[in-house]
Amino acid sequence: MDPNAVHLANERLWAAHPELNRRQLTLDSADAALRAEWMQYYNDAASASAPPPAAEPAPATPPPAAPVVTPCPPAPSPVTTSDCHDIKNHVAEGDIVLRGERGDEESEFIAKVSNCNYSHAGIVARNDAGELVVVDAYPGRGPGNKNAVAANSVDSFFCGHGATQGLVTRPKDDAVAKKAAQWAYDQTKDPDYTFDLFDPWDQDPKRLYCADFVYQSYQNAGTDLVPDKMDFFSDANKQNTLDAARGFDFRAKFLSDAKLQSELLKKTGGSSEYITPCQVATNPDTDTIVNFDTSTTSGSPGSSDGKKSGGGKSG
Amino acid sequence: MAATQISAERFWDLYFRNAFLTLERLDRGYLGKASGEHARAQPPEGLLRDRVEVEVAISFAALQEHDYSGDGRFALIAKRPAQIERAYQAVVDQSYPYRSAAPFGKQRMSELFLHIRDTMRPSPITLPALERITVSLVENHTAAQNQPLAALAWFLGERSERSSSAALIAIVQNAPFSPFAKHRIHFTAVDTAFAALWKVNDKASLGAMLELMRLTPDAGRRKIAPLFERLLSTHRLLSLETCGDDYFRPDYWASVLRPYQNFTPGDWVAYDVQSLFWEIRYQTAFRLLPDAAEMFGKLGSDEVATVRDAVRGRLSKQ
Repeated sequence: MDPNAVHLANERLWAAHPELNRRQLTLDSADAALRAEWMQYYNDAASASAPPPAAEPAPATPPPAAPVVTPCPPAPSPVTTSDCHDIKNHVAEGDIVLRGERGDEESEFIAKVSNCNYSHAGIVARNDAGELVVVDAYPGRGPGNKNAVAANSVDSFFCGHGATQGLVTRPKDDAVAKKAAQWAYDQTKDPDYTFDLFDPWDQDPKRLYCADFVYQSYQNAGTDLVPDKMDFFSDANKQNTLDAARGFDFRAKFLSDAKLQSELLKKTGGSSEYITPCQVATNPDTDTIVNFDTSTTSGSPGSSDGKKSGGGKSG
Repeated sequence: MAATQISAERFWDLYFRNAFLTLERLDRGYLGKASGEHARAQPPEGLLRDRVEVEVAISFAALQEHDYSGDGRFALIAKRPAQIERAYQAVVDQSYPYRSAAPFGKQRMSELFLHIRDTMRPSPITLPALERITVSLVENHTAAQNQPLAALAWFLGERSERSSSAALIAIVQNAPFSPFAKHRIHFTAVDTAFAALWKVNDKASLGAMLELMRLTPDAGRRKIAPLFERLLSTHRLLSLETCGDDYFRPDYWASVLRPYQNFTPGDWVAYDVQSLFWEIRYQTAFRLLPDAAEMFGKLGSDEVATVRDAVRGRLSKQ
């Protein structure tokens, strides 16, 4: 739903029905007429707001009249490098690290659908020896995708998987970052984590994927880095997803939008939401620390280890 | 193509991975089609992969051989403290027998439960009190309440009482996809509320969910349809594979529900004896009226020992 239109419809309904005392409508039959009226107001507001106004959606509560906290210190200037070995010199505990590769159809498909040039995410933590390492969830580390969570060197993360681009971002709250990093590192001692993408019923607490793991690390430190999951079949993203599928799969070109969407949803078990690497790394709570891009100069790209499909794609 | 006979271990792995595309619970065993071990990859990469499907079969006799008492996916369900204050304290102590995933790790759950208890004082921890505070957190929602709401939703699911459905629906009604939402509750709390609605299994709330499904855009329908699948599947899994595009259509689920519109809670308990999901059959063992001898008998010969044990325990107390 368009949050702006929802807000406007609520206000219009409450203005027309002061007896509601600004209460939320229920799904009870007693509210059926009011729901129909609300939908009319919503449709009016949604159509009036197309194209969407630049203004931010109205907040649920009024913002404070004046800043109540001192302004944050200025964000550090990001370092740009084309040398994957240089990145370790700039990372700190809790940093969120992303990597990606470009140049083939699969990578382009993933980048287009997820609106993100990076395909894998991890979090920097300090290991038992006091060294900074990257903790991530990755498939194929153990039988049945077990042992999914592990710590490896920063060099290995960026240089060992054919990455051509990378990003390091740092949460603004240092205490939260350290707590998230500690939680992430503690999970490496648990062999039962399994790399998996769809566990809608959360029957197994230890099935996760790369961005989900970073997100959970911060959740367990008390911070929700991502307000909304990416829905690749939302109104805003659907056409983009279908176009990307048609670009990748010749058969898809001959299917209607509805049929193609139906086929794609079957592949994911009906789920269309996920957390992208870009969502956990780039948000108002983080600053960019390092931009890694091999195309900038003749730097040191990650080696592919001779495994094409084992590179930066599956995170 | 002939179905491959699989082991109980493999069957339950597919079951808990939600990997069955189709599944039929026949008189003497299960027959189904599952996605292959590595068929599903990370979205959006998963969209590129062709599905690997395999036809599988297993007899009830083979399933009865499984070591249910040694498998935490089953055994832990019976280890939840029956008394709510003890269960709550076990979350605080980080000693709770987590079988079903909580939205956060044990430590964070403990922190949140301590915080919630502080806000509730001096009220004792009771189910109605927890349901009330959930509704109150929804009504007075700010971003700071997202994690406590997710924690509470999970706990209400663990208690598995029908009365909690109203509080859980209040969360769902403020999901980003919900019409006439007053607030915008974070997806962690919303996803947890959906999982809890399954565990609470309040069939009387299905009408409200159907109405929400009618009013919500596709994003909401993709969330609600799997709940109907879970709550209504009996001999045949009402999956996306089985139902096709109908799966996301409110009218389809209305047609599924239509024969049961005059069902009483007792009728739904009888319905749930046939559920495809063992967790619902397990729950039903506690919801049956004492004189439901035939249904006790049916659950008493269930293929899952955890269900049989629940029936035995219930009968021994009568």
